[in-house]
Amino acid sequence: MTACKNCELLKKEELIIFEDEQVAAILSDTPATVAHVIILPKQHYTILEQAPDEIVEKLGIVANKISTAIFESLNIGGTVVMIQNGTVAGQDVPHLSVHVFPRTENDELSLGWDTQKVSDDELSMLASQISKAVLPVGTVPVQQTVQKEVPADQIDGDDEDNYLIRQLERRP
Amino acid sequence: MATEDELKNMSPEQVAELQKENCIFCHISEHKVPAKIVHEDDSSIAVLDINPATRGHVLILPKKHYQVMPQVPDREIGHLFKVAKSVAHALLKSLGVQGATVFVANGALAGQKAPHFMLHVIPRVDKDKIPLSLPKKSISPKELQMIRERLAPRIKHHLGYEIRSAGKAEAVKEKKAVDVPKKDGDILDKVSGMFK
Repeated sequence: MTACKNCELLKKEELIIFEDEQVAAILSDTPATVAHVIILPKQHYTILEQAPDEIVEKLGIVANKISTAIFESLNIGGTVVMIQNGTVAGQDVPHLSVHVFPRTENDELSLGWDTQKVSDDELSMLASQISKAVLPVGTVPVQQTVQKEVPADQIDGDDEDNYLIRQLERRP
Repeated sequence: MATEDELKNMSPEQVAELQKENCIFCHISEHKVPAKIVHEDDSSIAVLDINPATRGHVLILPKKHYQVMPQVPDREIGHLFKVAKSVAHALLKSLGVQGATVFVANGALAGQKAPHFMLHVIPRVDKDKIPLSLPKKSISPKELQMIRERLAPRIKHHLGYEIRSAGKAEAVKEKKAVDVPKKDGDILDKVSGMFK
């Protein structure tokens, strides 16, 4: 199996700024801004939907504390907390990552979006569609998602990374 | 509405109360104004952004009024992230998109637009051109070490974790190898070995 970059980074003591049995926080070696931290599960989950709820919970709690620690330690204007879920969202390592990084006035980052106009009718329709698909917290069928995305006859037993990449890109 | 003079004479608590009274997201949470709700439970509410980055852009809010992330207690922040997971999953299933950006802006400079804490979940498709990509800059080992040292005190305060200096790391590794069995199997082997 080709090594996952994040799994490799987890082995680098000099990058780790927090860890416990389930999650770790590491300094990014390719930061968006100085003091860019990545909080991640030690177990290799590709995307958010695959991580168990208790891990997701912990990632959020640690991200909050790291964000606060960064804000209190450096002279910055704010922080961003971000998950790039899927390659289309910019995820380039198939290992769930929560990014926390500072924002300052001259950081030259263009992060944001133009807003679209959507009619009230369309919003109502979307809300109805989406709400029907939202499962209560604690019931997102992690295992089913995995099986649905990658049929058994297409999983190459030797090449786990390929299967994970496929999931990441949501290809069958 | 309070006059400028009245505001000047208010205590921080009174100002906070006033903010809450005028907070549209608190009104949404209390069902005082209409909103396109996609999920709701005791402590949180998820609604469609009426000025979205793209169709299906969801805002996840704690019902309680917190202005910024550090004010949100652990239990609630954990819950909000779990809701984000459910919402991201729902967007994939219902809209046929291929991913999502989960985004929190802390502070006006980071893009925070409202004084009520929220998580954004933005559906993403290939080449949608939404400017949410992160550049990759280079950083030297020396700079990384400097950042570690700078963050250490507040990491200790908030997480109770002592960042190991490079020198200490070796000593700790050795200790672990002796004290902590890698797998349950090691313990079982030891125990079963006693009966041979």
